[in-house]
Amino acid sequence: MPPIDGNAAAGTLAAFFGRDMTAAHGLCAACDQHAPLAEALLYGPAAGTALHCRTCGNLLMTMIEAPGGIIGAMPGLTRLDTRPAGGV
Amino acid sequence: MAVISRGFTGRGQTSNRLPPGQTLTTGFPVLTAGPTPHVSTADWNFTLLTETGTEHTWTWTELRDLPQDSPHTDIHCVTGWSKFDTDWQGVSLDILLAEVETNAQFAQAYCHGGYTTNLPLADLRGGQAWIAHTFDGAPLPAEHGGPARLLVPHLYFWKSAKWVQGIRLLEHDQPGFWERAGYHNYGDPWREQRYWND
Repeated sequence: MPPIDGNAAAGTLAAFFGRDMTAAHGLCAACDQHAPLAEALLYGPAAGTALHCRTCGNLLMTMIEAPGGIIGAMPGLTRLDTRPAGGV
Repeated sequence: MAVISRGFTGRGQTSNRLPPGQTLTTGFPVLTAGPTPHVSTADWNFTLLTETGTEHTWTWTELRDLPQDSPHTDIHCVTGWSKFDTDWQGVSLDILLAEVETNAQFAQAYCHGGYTTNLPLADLRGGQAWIAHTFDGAPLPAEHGGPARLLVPHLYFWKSAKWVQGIRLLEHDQPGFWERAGYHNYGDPWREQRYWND
């Protein structure tokens, strides 16, 4: 199954963070790529949402939708920046 | 007016086999959190790595030369679907673990593509787990974890790791990919252990 981009996770990201996060810039902990979450790669369907770095494939972030809330983890993000253009 | 209660007849055959919160499917949904690795059987091998660092490795040919099992089983995905009467072929972990000296209590499967999942070593013994290479009489397709996947059908199916490369035997439990992300550490479908701390 080919990947799709991080825009497909917009709804889950918004539910988790309480705001649109597709334009937020993340810094990949593996390759230092600085890019909006919208450009991350998303495979699936899966048991949860898993965002991967478009440049190196590193797992940036996971979200699991559970009754009553979302369980999130950001094992591959050194930084996440919601300023316009991610502070660039 | 008399109140008439329904006679108790027990649960039907389907509900006896369907864990709580699950829905029966006849399909076989493909779930993956990352790219699908394509591993040729010529390059494939499987390793048991003990807690002392000893490695036992089987090539594809060596695995196929071992005694083969044909488990017929129901499977249950944490996302809510269950599939009855699936047919597999593979090698029981009992046969592979018999070659290994270990005092480990835990295991972590690791896979091509980087996926991991953990479970107590006891859950890999006693005819409960296989390295499965065949589904419904045909080689296991890559999208379902071929050439071979771990099959541990008494736990939610994320524990039945696709594209399995090896299993680390561990003194201490090490949560895997979805367990770290928030799914349950053990994942018993009959106790509906879906999420962390359920």
